[in-house]
Amino acid sequence: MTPACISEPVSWLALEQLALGELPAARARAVQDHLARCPACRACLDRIEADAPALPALPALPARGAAAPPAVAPWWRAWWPRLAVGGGLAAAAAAAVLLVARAPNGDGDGGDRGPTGEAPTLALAPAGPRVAIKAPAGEVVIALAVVRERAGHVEAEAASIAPDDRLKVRLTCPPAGGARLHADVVVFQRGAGARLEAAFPLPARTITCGNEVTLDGAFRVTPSSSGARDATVCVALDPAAAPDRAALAARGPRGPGLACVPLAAE
Amino acid sequence: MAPVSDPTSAYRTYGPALIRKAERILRSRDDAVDVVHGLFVDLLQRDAPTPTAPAAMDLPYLYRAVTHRCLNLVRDRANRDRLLAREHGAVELVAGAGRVRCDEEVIGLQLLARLTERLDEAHLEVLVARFVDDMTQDEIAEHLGTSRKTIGKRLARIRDAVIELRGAPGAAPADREGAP
Repeated sequence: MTPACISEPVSWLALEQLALGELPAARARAVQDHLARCPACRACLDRIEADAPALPALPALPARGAAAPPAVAPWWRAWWPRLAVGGGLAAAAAAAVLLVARAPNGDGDGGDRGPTGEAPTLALAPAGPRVAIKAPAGEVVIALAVVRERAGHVEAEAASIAPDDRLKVRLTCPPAGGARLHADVVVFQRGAGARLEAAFPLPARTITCGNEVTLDGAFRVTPSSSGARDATVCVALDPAAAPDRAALAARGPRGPGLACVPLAAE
Repeated sequence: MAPVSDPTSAYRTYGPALIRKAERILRSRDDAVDVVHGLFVDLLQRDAPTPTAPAAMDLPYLYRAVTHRCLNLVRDRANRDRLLAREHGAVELVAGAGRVRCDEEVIGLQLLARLTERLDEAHLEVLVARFVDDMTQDEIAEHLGTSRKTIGKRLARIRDAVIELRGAPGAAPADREGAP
């Protein structure tokens, strides 16, 4: 066990600055003097010097002040959590993300097959990427984009996916919007027996909509229980309360308050 | 060393230090890497320096930026369950001087999460600087650009908040300076 400090521990910031050679000379001398007498703080510095975490690559973006923005996009917020999970039905944030493929024969007349007992179909025409929400300040039209990162390359408005792609969801509201909304990401996929499978890869949260608001959290999609890789990524939005996940899973990628982007498997 | 003006260079230079700091808060190297990576991606994207994002980035400035990002993550209820699942038992603020540093959790994630509901950002910054980064009150005052008196007041409020959470008198963490 590391011994206790002999007096007042050196702060982590000072130790890091010392390791980088950035402490002012007088302060550095004082810290070095302490370290020479204190095994505890010396051990902390040793730990810093022995630690070399790998840094994920930053995206290749133009330097600040460059004239032309990149043709594809923008920046990433932090990817968390890093998930690559297997199949399963709708689950909590840290659980599986399923992809619901379109049925092979293209079925889906847009309606449920409730009375016959058949599973609801993945509509040929799911809700589009824009949705109008009645917020307290008035109607707000919100646009959904799925941002895809593949081997360091960022696609701002993905329309297709491959197995190792990491996805994030971005919403855009008009400048006067600024609505505070409850948001929940749901991914639909065709599963075994043509059943509609829904999964919720990210925690539900409240957001203040604005220009290109990226929801925290990234996810990968994996094959559904039927092996399908297509997916429809939707965001359910509600100004009043968190969307009901059971209801979302039951009704599929259509209905009020839902913006969806279909992603074809590559 | 002069502050770094290029985010990419700053990432290479300070990234490891910032990851270690974020890991002390979040208890996860993966989450820490994500936080730091996200910070620098945003810095890259920024078109021009702003009052809160100076042209030159030094480690103290970036330390504060990482504190804010980590607190946002802890504060987000949606992430909280995931974060707290990795903490087996409630590690409370410990009192007394001379404690072990490198391998000692001074403030548990559960307590920090609960304190984000009771304290504002100014107090939470002081909390992190004191109990995660091990700064003295003088260092905190310099780091945050305020007076030692203000830091003392904020620490007192933090102690009160911990007492309120614990529901027991005299259970507040002792400040290292002047503690027995």
